[in-house]
Amino acid sequence: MEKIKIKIDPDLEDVIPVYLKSVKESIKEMKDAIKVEDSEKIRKIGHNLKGEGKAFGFDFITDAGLKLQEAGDAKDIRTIKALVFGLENYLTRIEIVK
Amino acid sequence: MKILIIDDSKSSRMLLENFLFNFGYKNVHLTSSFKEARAFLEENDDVDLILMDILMPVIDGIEATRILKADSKFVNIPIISVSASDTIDSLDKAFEAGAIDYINKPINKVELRARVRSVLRLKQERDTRIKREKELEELTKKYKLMSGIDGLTGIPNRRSFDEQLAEEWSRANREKWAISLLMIDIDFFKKYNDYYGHVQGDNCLKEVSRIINTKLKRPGDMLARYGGEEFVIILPNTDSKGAALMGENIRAAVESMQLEHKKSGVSDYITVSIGAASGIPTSNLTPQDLIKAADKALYCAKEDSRNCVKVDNTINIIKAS
Repeated sequence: MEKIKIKIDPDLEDVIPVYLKSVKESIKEMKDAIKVEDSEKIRKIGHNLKGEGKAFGFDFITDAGLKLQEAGDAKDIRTIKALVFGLENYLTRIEIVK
Repeated sequence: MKILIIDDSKSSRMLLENFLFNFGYKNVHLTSSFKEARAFLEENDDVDLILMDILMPVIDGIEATRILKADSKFVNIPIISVSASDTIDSLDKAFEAGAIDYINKPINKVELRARVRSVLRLKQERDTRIKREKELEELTKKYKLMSGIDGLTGIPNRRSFDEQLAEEWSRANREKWAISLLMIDIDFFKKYNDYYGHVQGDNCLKEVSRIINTKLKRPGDMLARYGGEEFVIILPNTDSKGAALMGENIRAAVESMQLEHKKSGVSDYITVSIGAASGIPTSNLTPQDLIKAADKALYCAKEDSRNCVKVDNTINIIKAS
């Protein structure tokens, strides 16, 4: 699959790996939440993803966060599943360039 | 410049710290909850700026801002709210709680730098102004002390009194005439202060000193604030009879002002107790003996019924024996 190239702010070079690790943890938490249909948890995680993604250079994560927040609000588990899958897929495709 | 970040998200803290570090702010401290931040602030009284996330568990950023702004220790630290809640409502609440500015998440680096810089500049200007005001206040105090005037009542202070008494004592010694002192104390003044508050207490001191001053007719008579709610009057060339008369005049004048005092044990109004002492200076007497005697008479007035004048006539007799 084609890689998505992300150009990052050199100031953030050291913290990007830590940030991406935290996004992976969020995905894991959301998967657990899906199992018990805890849409409130999804809403909160979505809110955090929305607030941070773009600042680190990942606009996709902010967009996904917003959609997750909205889907969480609407208790729409089907959409949540699709968004989490999309986000996980996105993380496997990104390539950091300076 | 010391900056404190309060954010429950580790990556947000990291992001802010990194940006700020690269802007040149090296003294940045990270906390993950208001509880942790509060403990830090208690230990560090030199924080110049707080960046506060709004959405946090337990105590959110709005509530935390409100708490800090209600505390005199922290009220002067500017707070910038940082939030992904881009509704007008949360912006409104943040400003209402006392935030000075607001930054939306995702953080935009240029916006962050501009806002932090402008808030820190304001803080610096305010600190400089407060420092100048304090210096000016100190200078005024010092000047007033040097000039011998009591700052509150505008009458001579204790230092002026000591100097004037020494002078009048020498003059009385030369002229061989009597000199008198009146020590005046406002009855139940502590209770007045407790009940009406310190501002009203200060007003009362001003009023009492003003009315007493109107009773002094000769240029040589001097009223001074002796300390707290105590006043003292030097009456040159006055014997104990004259001092008692003057004391009674003053006592009656204060009472007739009818300044309400609900907590007084002797009247519905402000009253004074007065101790008077007179003596002709001799080589084995000092001004301190006169003060002690007047003080003793004041004590008797307080012990007796208050709102009265007591005269101590013993000063020359004791020393002569």
